[in-house]
Amino acid sequence: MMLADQDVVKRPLITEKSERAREAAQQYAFEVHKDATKIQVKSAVEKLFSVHVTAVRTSVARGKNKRVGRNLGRRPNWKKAVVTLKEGETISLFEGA
Amino acid sequence: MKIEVETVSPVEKKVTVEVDPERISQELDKAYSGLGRRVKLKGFRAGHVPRAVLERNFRDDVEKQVVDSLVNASFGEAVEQHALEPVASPRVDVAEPGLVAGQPFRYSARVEVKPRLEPRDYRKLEVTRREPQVTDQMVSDELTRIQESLSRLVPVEGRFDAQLGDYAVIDHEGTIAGQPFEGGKAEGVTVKVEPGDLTAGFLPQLAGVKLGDSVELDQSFPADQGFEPLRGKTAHFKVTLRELKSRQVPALDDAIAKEMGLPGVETLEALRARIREDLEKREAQRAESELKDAVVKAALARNEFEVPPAMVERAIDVMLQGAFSRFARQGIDPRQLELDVPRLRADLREQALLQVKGALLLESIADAEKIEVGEEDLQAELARMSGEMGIPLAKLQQQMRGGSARGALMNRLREDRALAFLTSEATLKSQA
Repeated sequence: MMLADQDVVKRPLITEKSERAREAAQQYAFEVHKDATKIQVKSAVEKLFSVHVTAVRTSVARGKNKRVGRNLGRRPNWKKAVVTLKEGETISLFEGA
Repeated sequence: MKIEVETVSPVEKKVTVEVDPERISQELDKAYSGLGRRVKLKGFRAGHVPRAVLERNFRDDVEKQVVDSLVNASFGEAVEQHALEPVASPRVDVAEPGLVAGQPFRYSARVEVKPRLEPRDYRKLEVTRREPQVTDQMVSDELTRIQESLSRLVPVEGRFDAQLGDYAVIDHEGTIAGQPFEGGKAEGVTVKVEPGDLTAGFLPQLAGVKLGDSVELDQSFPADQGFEPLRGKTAHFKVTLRELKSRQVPALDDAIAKEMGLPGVETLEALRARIREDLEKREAQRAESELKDAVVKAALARNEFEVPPAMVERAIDVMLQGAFSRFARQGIDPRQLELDVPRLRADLREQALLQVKGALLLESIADAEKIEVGEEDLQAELARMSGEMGIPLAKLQQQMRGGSARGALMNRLREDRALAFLTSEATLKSQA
């Protein structure tokens, strides 16, 4: 399936967990397209941020059940990708300014 | 921290401050750790946001806040160390490059200060004192005023045509070029049949007109007439005479005294005595305040000095506020008066300048003469005020617990003392 790079990588995830992984192992977390493969994520991140990706790990986060009054609803599932960069490389989007 | 103070003018200082890098990083640490505890960011538990993330999101805010607190603290220290007496908030100018970690932080602040005065030649001032005088003429003028204020309009009986000097109740209907205009028609308006202008309530044309009859007249209005549709126009009025009244002034006798309703005043003689007494009190007060003004002016004439503009502006503010609250107490909304505030301020400036100068000079004289005001003086003054204003002493003491009100009263007492001292030292010339 053809996906543009911008459609593959949806947004950076900046959380306590991702910050720790970033500082410890140059791992950057993103929310990615649900149908994107690891290979697509790798090439999209490399092109968008001009870096070299050495590993990609993905997981599908299950949407939570939410109740609004007496209506039950479910948030959509989404895919998370944790990308490991080559030694010494960074993505400035996460580092700030 | 390095602090340098330059004197720009007697009433303005320039303070240049350099804050050490250590102090800056301390302040920054404090600011971020405080912020970290408060702030809630998505993806982080409260209190677990790393400093780097905080810096990324809130750097500008935090730095501004740290600059403010550094300036406040260090300016306060500068004021204390160099015994400055600022009278307005400083104008702060942060030097390049602003707040950078590991580098000293520099800023300069210009501030208006109370000038230090060396009062001279304030003894043996020559002042003319006006003796308070109450003449019989003044008393009878006051009586006439009372008579006027108690006069009534009563219907004229046995006469049906208007004469000069009458008050007439009329209906009128006005037109401009044949067209009625707003406010042109009214019923039951009272005017005076006397030479003069209609706009001021005089209508001489009514003389000789019978009750129920009408006259027609033209009235032109000036271009600066307050009511806009009439400006520069000539209106035609049809005026119908409805009622005639005359003014009845009560005779000067014991009845008028009783009507005044003053306790203990039953006869005309008593009223006269009371009026004289009041006038004497008022005159004495006036002479006293004139004397005080004259003493201050005389002292100022021998002492030339500069005054910080901020103090003058503040004095004007106080005056305007006083005027506004007086209006408010009378039930007038100052906003409805459409006052020209900038012009009012300009008009008050001279008076305010005199007031500020006087206060500064008196203060410096009090310093020079070691005039001090103690706690018992304050209490005595409070007791006097409580008697004068009819406020319980305890309530006044309560109000005075606040530092600024107390300080202001102390200052006023000290000024009064200094003024009394000047007056006692002055050479008074009497003038009838």
